[in-house]
Amino acid sequence: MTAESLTALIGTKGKPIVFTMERTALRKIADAVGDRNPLYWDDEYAARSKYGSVIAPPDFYGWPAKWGPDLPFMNSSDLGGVLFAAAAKLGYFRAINGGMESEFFLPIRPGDTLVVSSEIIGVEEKEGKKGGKMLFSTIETTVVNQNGDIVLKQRSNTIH
Amino acid sequence: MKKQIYWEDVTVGQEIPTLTKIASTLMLVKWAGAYGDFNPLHFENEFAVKFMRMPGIIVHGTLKRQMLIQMMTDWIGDEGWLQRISTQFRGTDFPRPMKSLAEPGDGDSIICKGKVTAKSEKDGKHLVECEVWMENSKGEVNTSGTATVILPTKK
Repeated sequence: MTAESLTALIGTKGKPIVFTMERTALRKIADAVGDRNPLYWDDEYAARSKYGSVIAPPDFYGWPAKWGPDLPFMNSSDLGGVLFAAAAKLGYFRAINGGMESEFFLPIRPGDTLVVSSEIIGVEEKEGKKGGKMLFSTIETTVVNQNGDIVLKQRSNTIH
Repeated sequence: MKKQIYWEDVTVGQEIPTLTKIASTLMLVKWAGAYGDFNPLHFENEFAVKFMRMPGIIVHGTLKRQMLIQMMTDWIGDEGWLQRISTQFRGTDFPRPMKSLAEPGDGDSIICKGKVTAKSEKDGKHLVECEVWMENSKGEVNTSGTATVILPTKK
């Protein structure tokens, strides 16, 4: 296994995951962070808003999109596992969230059916500041709703 | 309903109202379950120390990011739209232990901050660019980034 074979992973696509946004799931996210925004909690209030119903907090596109029997943690696809396995062969056994960027196009409402697709868009080995090499990877996730509209795009960087 | 902020009201250099949060171990457990991030780094001390070589369990980057998102959505109100947020996790933050069923003990607070860096109009949308970051009780910035919001206009 070489760094070159790792870069060959760029362009690898994960198996899309389809699921429905649940009312309780979005409340749990808002509760966990301690966000009492009535757009997430109060049906009557949200019905009078421009959204016409409660919405999910930005950046949350559902559970269990982030989890599955073969995905112990992180990443909305099998791609995280692909990267971890490849990285481990090069001696990188850790995975730290280095940063994330999201673009939000449309709100997500309870009952929305979302298709979550992911792709490895970057793998790079670099010299670390303290000497020694570090491995960086980026997965891009695109979430499309039942109308075929893109609701969000997220790029997530992992430091191995 | 909170007072709505409009694009005309915003000036470059303006500070976004701060949002102070306390990340407790209870909050981390809730976040792991709600978000679906079951990395033991966020709930298992021995794993964090021995395997991840951290001083202890650390706050999820995604949770810190959600705090910054809340600061932004609190500020822009119901009529505003968060269009983009980018966050870099440069350092780690540590949760407070619980001292009772519901109350966190002593430890760090996380203060979310931001300021306006630019205003523009594009494709009929009224945009505001911001810098966002969070400071711990020592004033250290472990998470920072940028955000773009769309605000309503008075016209």
